[in-house]
Amino acid sequence: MGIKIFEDLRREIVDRNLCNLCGACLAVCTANNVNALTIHENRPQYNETTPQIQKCLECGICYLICGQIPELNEVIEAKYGAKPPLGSYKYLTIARTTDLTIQEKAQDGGIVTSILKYLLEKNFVDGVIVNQSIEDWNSVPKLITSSEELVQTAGTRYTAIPAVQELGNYRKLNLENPRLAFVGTPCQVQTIRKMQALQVRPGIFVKYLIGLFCMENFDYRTLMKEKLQNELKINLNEIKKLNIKKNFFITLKNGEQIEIPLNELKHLVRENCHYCTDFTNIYADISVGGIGAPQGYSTVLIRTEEGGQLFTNLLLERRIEEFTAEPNNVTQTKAKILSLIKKLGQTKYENGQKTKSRLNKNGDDR
Amino acid sequence: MAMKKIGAVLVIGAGIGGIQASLDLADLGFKVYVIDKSPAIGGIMAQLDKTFPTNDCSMCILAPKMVEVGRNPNIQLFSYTELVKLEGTAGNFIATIRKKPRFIDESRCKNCGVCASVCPVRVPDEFNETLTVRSASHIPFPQAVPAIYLIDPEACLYLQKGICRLCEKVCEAHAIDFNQKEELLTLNIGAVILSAGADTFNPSILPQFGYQSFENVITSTEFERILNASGPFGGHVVRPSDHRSPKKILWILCVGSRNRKLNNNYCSSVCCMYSIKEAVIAKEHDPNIEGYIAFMDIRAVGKGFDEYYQRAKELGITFLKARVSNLEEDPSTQNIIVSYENIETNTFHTEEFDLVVLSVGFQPSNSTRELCKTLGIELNEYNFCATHPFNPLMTSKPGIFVCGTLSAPKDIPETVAESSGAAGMVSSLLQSERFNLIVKKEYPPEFDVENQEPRIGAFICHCGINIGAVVNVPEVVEFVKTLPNVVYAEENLYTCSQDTQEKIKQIIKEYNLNRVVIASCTPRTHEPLFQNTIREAGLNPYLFELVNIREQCSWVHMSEPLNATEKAKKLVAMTIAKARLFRPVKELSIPIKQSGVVIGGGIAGLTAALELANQGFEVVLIEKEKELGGLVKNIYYTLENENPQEFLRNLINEVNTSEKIKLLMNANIESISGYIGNFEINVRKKGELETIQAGIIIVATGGQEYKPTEYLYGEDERILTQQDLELKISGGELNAKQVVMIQCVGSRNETRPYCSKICCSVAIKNALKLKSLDPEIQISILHKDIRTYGFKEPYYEKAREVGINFIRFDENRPPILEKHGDSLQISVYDIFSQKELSFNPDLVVLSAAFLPTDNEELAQMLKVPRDQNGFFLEAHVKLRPLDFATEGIFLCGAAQWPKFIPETIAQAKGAAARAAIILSKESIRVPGITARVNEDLCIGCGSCQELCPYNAIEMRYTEKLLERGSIRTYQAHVLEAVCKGCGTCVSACPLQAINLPHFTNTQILEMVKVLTKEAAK
Repeated sequence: MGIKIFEDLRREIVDRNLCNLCGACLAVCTANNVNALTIHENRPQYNETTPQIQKCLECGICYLICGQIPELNEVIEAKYGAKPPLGSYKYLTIARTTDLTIQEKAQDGGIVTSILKYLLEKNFVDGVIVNQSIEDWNSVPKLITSSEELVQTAGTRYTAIPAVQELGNYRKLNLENPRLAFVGTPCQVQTIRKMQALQVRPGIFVKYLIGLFCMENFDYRTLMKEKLQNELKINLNEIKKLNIKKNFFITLKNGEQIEIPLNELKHLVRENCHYCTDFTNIYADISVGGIGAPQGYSTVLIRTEEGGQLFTNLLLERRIEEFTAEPNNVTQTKAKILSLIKKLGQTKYENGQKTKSRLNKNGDDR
Repeated sequence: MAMKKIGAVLVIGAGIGGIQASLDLADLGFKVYVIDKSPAIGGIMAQLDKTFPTNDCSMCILAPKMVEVGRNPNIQLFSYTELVKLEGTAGNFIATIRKKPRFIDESRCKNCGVCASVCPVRVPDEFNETLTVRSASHIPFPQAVPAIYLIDPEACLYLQKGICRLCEKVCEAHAIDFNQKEELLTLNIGAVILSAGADTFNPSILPQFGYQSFENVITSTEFERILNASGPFGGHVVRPSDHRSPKKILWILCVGSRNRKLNNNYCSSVCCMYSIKEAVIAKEHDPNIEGYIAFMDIRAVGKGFDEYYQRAKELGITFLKARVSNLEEDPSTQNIIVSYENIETNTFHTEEFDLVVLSVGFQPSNSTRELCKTLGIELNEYNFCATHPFNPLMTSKPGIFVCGTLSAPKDIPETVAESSGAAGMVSSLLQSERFNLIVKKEYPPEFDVENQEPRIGAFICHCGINIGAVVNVPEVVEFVKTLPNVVYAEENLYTCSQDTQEKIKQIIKEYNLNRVVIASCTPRTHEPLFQNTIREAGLNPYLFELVNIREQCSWVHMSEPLNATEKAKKLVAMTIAKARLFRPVKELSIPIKQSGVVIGGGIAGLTAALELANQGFEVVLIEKEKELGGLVKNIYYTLENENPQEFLRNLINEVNTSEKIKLLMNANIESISGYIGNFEINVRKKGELETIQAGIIIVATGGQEYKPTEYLYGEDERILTQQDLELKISGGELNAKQVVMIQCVGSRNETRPYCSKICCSVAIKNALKLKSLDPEIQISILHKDIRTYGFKEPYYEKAREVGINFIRFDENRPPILEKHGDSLQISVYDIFSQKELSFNPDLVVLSAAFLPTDNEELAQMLKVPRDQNGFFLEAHVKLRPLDFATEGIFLCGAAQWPKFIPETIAQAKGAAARAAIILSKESIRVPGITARVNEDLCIGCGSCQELCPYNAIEMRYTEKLLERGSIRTYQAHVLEAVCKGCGTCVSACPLQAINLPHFTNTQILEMVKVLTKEAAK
């Protein structure tokens, strides 16, 4: 049996619109030092301009670690006790940052930015991969090495970017054993765990994985340009914040709020997201989301030993604080959140399973 | 019928011990098979950053020896290999060994590293104690011998998952071989040397230290790697948790040693010194570091050790006599909170440190335990290889010898001495087979090139992509072709590969080349290979030179390919310019007088003489006293309760009956002249002068007990030295009820800053003896530290158990002895109880310093140095403990430093082996590059003689008769046998009267011209 290589990935995943656009295949590609692969029109593909000799070395690693390829699923499921719908976790809590600058920019409780700031300031990592805003609510993944660069990265954009690809830029740090932190969606976190299962770079360098809750994701072009700008005539420069709670909320800088029902956007959701079964980011060290939390707070799931230690240290240093109210009230809020994310998680899991089985019936040649 | 003896030896374990044993054995004329379970040789020493007490770079002194093991034609190295079984008896064994697959073809791998650079896997790097990562295809460390990569099958994606094979796709040497299988081989050998070493203790089993739970608690080996420039942090002293510089570092000594619960009652002997060294070096790296050392006793017993300890104190390292009970981590800072009891102040403390280093001791490894089981070798109670104190290099099985830390904790020089000693014992056993199995190379006659126009051939190496990816090799080749006298130039993917050697020879013939220049990697590893190639083609090996365009060009200018190419051209052009002036250099051969002289008839001299005799050489043993035996004459029992008198009698008897040994008793040496292979010693005996010719000299002049001027010694018969006491005990004439012993009398003070090493153990030995003779006797030992290192430690413990009282005094407040009327009174301030104590002993025993014998005159005659304390100074305190810097002269025993009987025996055997290497040859070859004096120019100023580090220059005179008397005109004369070709004299000579062949002034100026001409362009 031959090794399956990028050509197979292209045929089985990319050409069928199943690509998560995480960029992992580019990140692990040895030949990518000389640009064997590229992302063009939101699809990873062979770089046609690269000379033949430098093309794909047919190692097959990209295929094995692709989030849409099931081969290593069992390995990481066993390791992280990844039972649907919520995966394994140590505890759930509600928290927010104590840092006012972060609070101002934050999507919800500013937990993710606070964690990254802590890791960089304490020199526990050499770099973190974040989404950095560029013009018109577009963003690019960026490897940053100092906490000063962090604040402009806070806040959520609901468009898919190849964040895992940016991990490949660890080479720029010129370190033999760089220590990285990564923030991303469930599909991105999952592929990094697969790299770790194989002990391959760059995933093996990721010491902390901060997972975001994720219901689905969009393409920048279709959501922001075509829907918001062209169809709804929203000036993208005037947007202050985007938020998906029950519906899609757009807050403008002038304070105006626009609400779009989610089913109106359904057709814009990326195809790959329909196959996803993970809402709460079950492979992360710490999962963070806004769902269910009181205003200005985030819902946090502590999953691993490392995640627990990290979160405790932030609490000890008073960089973040947990939600306080009447004890009963806290317990009730947590219970409410738990049942909510369980429900959403279950829904996503079931929908994902359904889509998958449909795909299999329709002739999956894998 | 006795089996035929085999002149080959198996050395198991290639740390520094196995390396030294292998090199000595090969030099002694035996075929050596050396196996090591690791993929690279070097053992623990390869992991060390610096060595105490000289702060030598460990790798820098070890690497040349590793390289020599790798390339010596009579040493066959099997790395990544283990012993399966051993059959047969002394003289003729069959060993079965198992060689693990590297998945890389050893004959093809060129050490270029491309496989590792593409390997996507990263796993913890064992060589760096998992503080960083490596790829699946890797080489353990850059200087590794063999310089061959290997693939870790546990990590390799192909071997685990069937994917990847990237290394295979990029390896231009086609060295990757995933089909490699484990190989079983059998070797026929005459003897075995076990030098498998010991592990360092794994502190995970001691929960109080939190090792593994707390990132900033590390072992001393990890700290060595952190200090090292090629270590995980590039030599920056940072702590693991946050890679930031620690300010306060605490070393905790005796972790896993002196621990009864673990059955590790022994002292590991080296941890005190390496911890002090680590603290000193850390401070050198970063002066802001505060070093603290928590210790029980500081055991600075070796040469220069106590002085090093004192210097560390002066540097501001804080020594805490403390028992550490627990470590905790502050979760927010990852600092370590240490709870300890300060034993000196009797106070409990908790103190925060940024980093804690656990100074772990030696522990016999499971694999060596298995090995000894396989061999049927007895172990001692701590699972080290069992040896007898008077036969320290012999295992329980004939034909199997042991050296290094496999038999007891010890430091590098002791290991090296033992390794030479073990090689010597093998040499005695297999004496009849010497030179039978070794390779003697035959070469064709050399062409005469003297009057030929230079015809230079140049070979420029790509070294895979190592050079080729940076330097434009074809461009360099084209450039070289334009240079005058170059008649041939080509590029090679690997100039060092076997097929290229054949090609070079063929081209030499085809183009009638008479000079060869190769531009590739380092001469350190490759010069002998290429010299051999051109010699095989009939050219003198000095008609060749290697240009290093890898380490000195492509590797350091990786990001500037254009400049690197220009530099490569310049480097090659310079050597080509020099090559035009190459002339053949004749190697000299100096005849050897195949007999030896041993100076000193104590156990060191007796053992050395006997070893030489056993190896078949005539020996003259010179003793100034009328009786043999030296110091051991005064030793009646040992700490281990052996009888040294009986041992000495047997030894003297053997010497007396040996036909090879001639004794000169009551003899005084008057003068010594000559050099290696040809010494002349004038000895006066009862007025008669005798001249002895010898190839080598072994110095074994021993030492003596200091006669104290302190503590009323000599004024009262109740005041004795330990030696006096022992004599009285053995005579049964002692009747004391209260005894006080005072340690360090005459040592560790201003006049004699060194520790005399043996006195603590001797005091305990005598105290235990007294106690066994009279259990009611009261004994107090007043000391600064108790320095019972190694397996002597359990006796210290025993002494405390039987009620011997140990009182530690401050070095600035020594005990005071006074005589009141007829009674003796000792007062001492006890650090532990913080009380002034007073005794009225009926016997006071002084543990007096150990002094070298009167050796100043002898040192002058031998032209060898002594250290600041008057002991003879060896060539290198770590790796040449038995040699003097002057070749052909060796030393052993207490002449070098105070030591116990087993150490003395090991050294004596080692010195004899080192000497036998010379004596076993009829002549020695001297490399041709030795200084040459132009007699027309030399004015006999003597500058060269003064500067020569090897005593290789003699000033010789000619007498000119004048009308009234005569004058002497001096001229420098180079002793070619001694000259190392370092060139110091050449640069020092004010008249340029000295030159070094192959590095002549004209040749070097020619190179400079090319460089400056290029620069002027």
